[in-house]
Amino acid sequence: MLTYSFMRIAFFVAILLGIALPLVGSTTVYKRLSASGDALAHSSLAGVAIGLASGLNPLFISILTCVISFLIIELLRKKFQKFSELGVAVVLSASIGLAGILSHYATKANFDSYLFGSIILIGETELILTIILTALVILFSFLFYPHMFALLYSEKEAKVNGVKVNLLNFFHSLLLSITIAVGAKVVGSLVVSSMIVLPTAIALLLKKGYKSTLFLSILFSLVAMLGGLTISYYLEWAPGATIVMTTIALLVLVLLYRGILVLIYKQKEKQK
Amino acid sequence: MIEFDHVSFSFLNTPVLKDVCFKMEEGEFIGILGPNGGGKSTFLRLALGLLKPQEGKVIHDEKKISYIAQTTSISDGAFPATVREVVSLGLVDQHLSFRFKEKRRKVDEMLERMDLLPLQNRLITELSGGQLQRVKIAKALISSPTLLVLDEPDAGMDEHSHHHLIHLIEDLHEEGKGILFVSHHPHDLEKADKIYFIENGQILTYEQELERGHHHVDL
Repeated sequence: MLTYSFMRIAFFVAILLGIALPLVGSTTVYKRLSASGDALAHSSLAGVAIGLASGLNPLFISILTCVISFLIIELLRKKFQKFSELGVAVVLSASIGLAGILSHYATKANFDSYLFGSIILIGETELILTIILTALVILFSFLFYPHMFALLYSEKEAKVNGVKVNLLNFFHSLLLSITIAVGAKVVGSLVVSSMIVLPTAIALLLKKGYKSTLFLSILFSLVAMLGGLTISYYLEWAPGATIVMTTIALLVLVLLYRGILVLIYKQKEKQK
Repeated sequence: MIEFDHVSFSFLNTPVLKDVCFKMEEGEFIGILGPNGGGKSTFLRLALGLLKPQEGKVIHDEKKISYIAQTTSISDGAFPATVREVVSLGLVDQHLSFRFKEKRRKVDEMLERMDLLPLQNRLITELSGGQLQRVKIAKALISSPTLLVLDEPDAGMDEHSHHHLIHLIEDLHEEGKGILFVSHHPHDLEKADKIYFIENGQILTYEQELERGHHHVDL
C-alpha cells in the first residue's frame, strides 16, 4: 500500500489533519457549539460553489466563506445568548441553500470532489496548506494551552486573570474556519464536520482530565484517520466515508468498554 | 484600592447603576448584599474592570485581583478537568515563563494547604459542593492576590461546607488580603469592615439601609 506515493502522501496528510481537527474542534464541543463544525463545513461547500461558478480559486473562497460564517455565528451567539445554537442553524441553512443553487453552475465532478474529499488525489497547494496549517494549530495550542483552558473554564475569571479572551476567541475561530475549509478539500466537507466533534466525544466518554481528554481525542482521531484510510484502500471504499464509519465504530467500542466497566463495578459492589 | 467616582451604567437604555460612589481601601473586607437584579453583578463587573462605566470613572489600584465567579463551565457537570488542573489555572499568566518546577511546587503547596492533595487527580465533576469550593479558592489564591472577589460562592453547598468557607474567608482577611464578598446571607459578613446594599441601582451603607427601615438586614 505504501509503495504508492499518493498513498504515502494521503497517510501523511491524514496524520496532520488527525492532529489538527480535534485540537481546534474540542473547543466547539466545550462551548456547546458542536454543530458549528457542521455549519462551517457546509459554508465551505458554499464557498466552493461560489468559486467554481465564478472561476475563482474554490479553496481560497471556501476559506473566506468559512471565516465570514464563523464571525456571523459568533455575532448571533452574542445576540441570542440564551439560544446560542441559533446562529449555527442560520449559517447552516444559508450555506446549504447557497451551495445548492450555485452547484448548478459547477461541473458535477468538481463539486463532488469537495463534497466527499479527495485524500488520495492531493495537489501540491493543499499539501503545503495542510502542513502550514497543522504547524500553526500545534503552535497555537501549545502557546495558548492554559489560556484556552482558562477561558473554557470561565471567560470572566480568565479576563480578570489577564487572558485576552476576545483576541484568543478570534484567532481560534480563524484557525478553526481555515482548518475546516482545508480539511473539507482533503477529506470532504461532510467528513470534516464529524472529525471536528467525534474524537472529542469519544475521549469524553473515558472521563479523564482536560489534558488527557485532549490527547485521547488526538489518538482516536489518528486511529480513525489511518485505520479508515487503510480499510478504504483494501476494500476499495470511499476514504472519507470509511474514516467517519471507523470513528463511529470507535465510539461504539468505547461505549461498550464503559458499559462493561460499569457492570464490573456494580458486580463488585453487590459482592461487598 | 478600588474607587467608584459617580459611576452610572445602563443596559439598553435601562439604568442599572445610578451615580454610584464607593471606595475600598487595600486590605479591607467589604460585604455586598442586595436583591437579584439590583445591580450587584454589574457593580462587580465594573469593579473588576470587565465593564467600562458610561458615566463617571472606576479607579483601580490593586496589584493582583483573583475572582471567583458564581458559575463556571463546571457548573453543568460536564467539563473535563481534574482538581490539579483547575488549581494550576490560577497560574495561567505564568505559562510562558517555563519555570515548570516552581509552578509544580506552588500547586503542590496550595493543594496541601487546602487539604486537596489526596483529591488532586479526581475529576471536579465528582466532588462534593464543599470540596469544589475549596478547589475554586485554591485556584484563586495560588497567584497570591492582594484582593479576592467572591460572587455568591456558596451556591449548592451544605451548611457545614458553607460554615467552613466563611471561616476560610475570614482567615484570609486576617492574613491581610482584601475581600470583596457578594453574598445572600447577611450573617456571612459579620467580620466585614463595611457592608453595602445595592438595590435599584443605588449603593447604600448598612446604616443608611437600616435608616430606611429594612430590618431584615440585621446581622
